[in-house]
Amino acid sequence: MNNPLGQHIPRLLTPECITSPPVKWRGKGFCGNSTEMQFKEYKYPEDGFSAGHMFWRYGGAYIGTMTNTNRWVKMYQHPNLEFVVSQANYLEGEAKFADLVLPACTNFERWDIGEWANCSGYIPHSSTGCNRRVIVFMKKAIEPLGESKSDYEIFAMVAKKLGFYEKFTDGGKTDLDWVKLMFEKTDIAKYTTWEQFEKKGYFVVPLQKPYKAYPALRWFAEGRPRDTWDWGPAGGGTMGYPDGCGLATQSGKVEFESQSLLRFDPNDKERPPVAHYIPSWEGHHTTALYKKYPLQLITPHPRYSFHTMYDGKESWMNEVPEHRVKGKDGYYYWILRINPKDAEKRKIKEGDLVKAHNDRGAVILAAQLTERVPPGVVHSWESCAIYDPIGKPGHSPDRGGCINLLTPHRFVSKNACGMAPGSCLIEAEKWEA
Amino acid sequence: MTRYGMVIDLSKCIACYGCFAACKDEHWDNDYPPYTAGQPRFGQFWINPVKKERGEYPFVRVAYMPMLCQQCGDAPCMDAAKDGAVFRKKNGVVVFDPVKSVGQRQIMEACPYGVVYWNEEKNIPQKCTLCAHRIDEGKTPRCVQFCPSGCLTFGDFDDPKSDVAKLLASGKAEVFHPEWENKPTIYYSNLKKGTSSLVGGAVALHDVNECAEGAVVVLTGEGKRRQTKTDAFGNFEFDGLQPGNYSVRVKARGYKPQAAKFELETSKYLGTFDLAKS
Repeated sequence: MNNPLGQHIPRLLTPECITSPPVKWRGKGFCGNSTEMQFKEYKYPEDGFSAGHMFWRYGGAYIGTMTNTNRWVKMYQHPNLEFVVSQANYLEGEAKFADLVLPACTNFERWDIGEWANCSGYIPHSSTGCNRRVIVFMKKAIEPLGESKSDYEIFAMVAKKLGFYEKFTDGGKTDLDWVKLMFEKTDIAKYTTWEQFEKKGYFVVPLQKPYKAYPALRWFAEGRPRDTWDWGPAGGGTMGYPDGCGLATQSGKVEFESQSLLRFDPNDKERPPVAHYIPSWEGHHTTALYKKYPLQLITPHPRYSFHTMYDGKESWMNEVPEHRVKGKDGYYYWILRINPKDAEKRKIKEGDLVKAHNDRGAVILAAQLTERVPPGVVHSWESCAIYDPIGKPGHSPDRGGCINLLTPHRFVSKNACGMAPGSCLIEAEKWEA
Repeated sequence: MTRYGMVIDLSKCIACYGCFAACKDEHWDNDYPPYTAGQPRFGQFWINPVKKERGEYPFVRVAYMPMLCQQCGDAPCMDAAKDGAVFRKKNGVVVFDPVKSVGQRQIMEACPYGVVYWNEEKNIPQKCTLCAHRIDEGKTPRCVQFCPSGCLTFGDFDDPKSDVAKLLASGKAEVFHPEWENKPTIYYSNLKKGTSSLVGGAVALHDVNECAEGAVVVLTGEGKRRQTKTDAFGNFEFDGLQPGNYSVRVKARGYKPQAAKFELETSKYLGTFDLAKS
């Protein structure tokens, strides 16, 4: 992802890239390597690369996390996307759009090794939630049920058909072989044996000896080279700072006016060099739209699920009354939180089904009346795991709770691939099933 | 004697529903004879954090009150049962016999707390057993074992050294609906967060357009007089009130006092008292 070369698609722009290429944008995903990577222009299809014809998905459903989700619904049905494969544990989210569903087994049915809370090695210091770095051995509890297989085994079988099984599996290694190899090639093997690790199931990475504390940013305050294990571009080499000194800004100092933005595009009204308030392009200032859709929707991450994980699996989570509410029809609906004053105006009572809608789509939700949201604001968690249209997909209300059907896909700035789902106006009305 | 129960602190429940999930994990599809048959996958809440929202925007307080079988010392379900289908173990735990209770819907209907559920498939009433099978093994109930915030404390009330006995002796724990005289062995601390009303408001100083910190607020009504001071944001609140007629009087040095009379039905936000210089 952080290689500046090759062809890629920003996830949020996937529908545009598939249905109406060519598409241009700036930045490549998480620009961890350098600030300049955020400014580089990319395009799809990239020079020398073919456009995509097939979409091969593995991992959980993520349609519920994508803004203006009907773009995705339409993409899946577009002739440019000739074939879709989905490796899925559950037939949830967008799996039903696949031409071919390959049943993947759950984490309980395969071997793996990983570092707890280390998000693909990308997010710095995310292990601090566990106090220490912890290496975890994920044990296979049962053999995969039914015809399901691990993602790795599925890929290996496909590789076999395509004639590169030996290369893909490095001579026929199983998932457990890879786990053992990973164990042996890292420093854990210096501290414990495979037999001990296998039995215990985890390894707490010890602190270095003798232990020395590295308070954050003290090196900067004292004008020394960086001594903390911070992630990101190292400072120095600019503006008179020696290598390894100074912050990773282009001045090497704390910047109130971003020097990189000032040089790149000082006239970007939405991402100005000095951060300041700008009226929303979809909010109570946008008079005509606000008259039509007078409720401001906020959609933070869900509390009882994580992105689309744990939701939509017909699990007990469905019965947590703050997560989903069972309708009279027995269906578990996602929740819209609305102030009693707004509810009264619309004759909405606690537990009623409501249709939340705007020009982008409509979602059927269960109303929860609460004073925790002020009048004029409604709240519904984003990223439910279900997309369940009651009619033609893309042209009918969804009852699964895919609230991102309503959020805009406009980026925070024309120069940045950052989503802005917080600027969203809707109307809500009582829905009779 | 032994008398097992819990003290549940409403100020510590964070509504993670971990107790509920742990209970499901312990009991779904698992029989623990002779104490209980397995819990169905959906529809039963042997422990259920019930939301209690009080106040009005922008003054809102939310607490969660975990509801479960109250393990009554004088249990209406036991009176309603036939053929000894409901019995009390020597350690005080009230148990529904999963065989003898078949078809005895009146056992569920007798519970004034609404914490007994009907298993349609097995045709039996079901409820929290306080994990009687785990207590036999010297363990705590699964929900207590899981609870990450220390909201649920389990133990023997007849053992003066137990945590629950100490909490009860501190005088802060009380039973839910004592007037029903069921003598529950589930006690709650900070129960007012689930059962009483509260009043809140804010005080500002008009001339300087600032929050009034340390303003004195006196509440009178229903034969009570209580006094508090505003915090750094100029806010004040009185909790643990019953419905009735009240008045508040707000004073800050160098400013004209203000007062308000109101009828309290549930909980109320009085808005901002904008004090003028005297």
